[in-house]
Amino acid sequence: MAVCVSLINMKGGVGKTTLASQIAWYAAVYLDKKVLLVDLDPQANASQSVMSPQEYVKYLDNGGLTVADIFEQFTPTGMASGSPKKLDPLKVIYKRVEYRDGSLVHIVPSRLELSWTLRNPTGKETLLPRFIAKVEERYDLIVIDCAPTDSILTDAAYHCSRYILVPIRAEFLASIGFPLLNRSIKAFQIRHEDHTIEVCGLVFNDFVRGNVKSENKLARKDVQEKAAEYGWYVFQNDIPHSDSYFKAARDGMPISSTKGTHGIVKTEFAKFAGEFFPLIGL
Amino acid sequence: MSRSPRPLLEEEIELLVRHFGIQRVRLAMAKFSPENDRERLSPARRNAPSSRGPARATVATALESIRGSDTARHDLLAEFLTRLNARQVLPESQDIRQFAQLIGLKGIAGKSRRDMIPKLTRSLLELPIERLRTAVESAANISEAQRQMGFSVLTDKLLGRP
Repeated sequence: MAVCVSLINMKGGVGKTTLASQIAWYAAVYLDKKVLLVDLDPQANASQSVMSPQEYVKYLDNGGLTVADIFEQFTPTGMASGSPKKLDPLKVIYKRVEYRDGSLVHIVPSRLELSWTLRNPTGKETLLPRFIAKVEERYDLIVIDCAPTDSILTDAAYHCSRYILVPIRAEFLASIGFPLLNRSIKAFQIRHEDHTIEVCGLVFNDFVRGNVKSENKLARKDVQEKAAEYGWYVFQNDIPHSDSYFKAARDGMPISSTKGTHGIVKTEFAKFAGEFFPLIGL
Repeated sequence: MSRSPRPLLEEEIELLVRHFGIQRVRLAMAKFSPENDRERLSPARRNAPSSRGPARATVATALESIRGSDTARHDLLAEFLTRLNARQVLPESQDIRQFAQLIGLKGIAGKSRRDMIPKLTRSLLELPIERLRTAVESAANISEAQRQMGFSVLTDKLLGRP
């Protein structure tokens, strides 16, 4: 059975998508795992960066199914074609790469129309976990990249997940979003006592290497204190900023294979990975 | 306080196993076996000519060997190799790395295109014909120019432009 991890932070721009994509690549390339990445953000940035923009557009133009089809599979589309059709779960999965040792990276792409689900969300939060249940035996790891909002989509991710990974930036506004996440998880846990879900940790992400400015230190201290109060682990290994992550996204490649990536960037990510994967049992 | 070498070694090995998995670490360690070490250090090996020539010959021979038995694969690969050598496809080493991922290689050794092409070719020879055909077609879309067009491709799609 696959381990399912959601990357969640109510604050946008903290590096959820970049981290989700690179975790997926790392698990396949270095740990030889079968990985499914689920893009649960209507902006579809994970899809664009893992598939490449050209391939993503081609996929949509050819009528490729997306995560929006999972959420809207029972929505009547009109008088003529209104009867519900059974969705083949394998048709929602794009096979990005299958390596010769059996490890792989597959993705459930997203599209802007996923935001329509937010307009009529009633009862749809169980559709994603039902989809995951049908495909999870094929994978070792399922990574869900969430949208920066507390919505039906976040609830769906909670239902699927055993762990939550929280990327966070050491800055004032980002640290304010962090208690909101705690409240959201607590609310879910109260409503679903039978479901085990826990925050596997917070990782400081996308900051300027060697930044020792007082504002940065203060924000980091705020987060660390709150994390201790909530009993959440803070990863010892941070992931500092590197433009190579943007290039990796443009190229649709793992950071380790992206041209021009400095050795220190690869090492920093590997150190975080060395801490993260054992925590989730991989 | 100084640490004894053994725990440090074990710690390092544990880190490697965590990162790469036991199977890959074992494979890598096999290269350091006493036999390999002797071979690596032997004068005969040090004085041996570069393997670049024979490697190329092997690729050419392998391609030639399928000319009669698997004509479709031979022609497809031969044409692809001609275009590859002329830099008409995958013009930069980064393009080859990206293409290697597509055909299921986790990495490809070598810094230059010249170093990578033999290994790439050997891998292409092993692909089922349909996958080879798809791979060769997709190679045409891998280049720095294509990567730089990503933004406009997405904005055109979002704005509904043809």
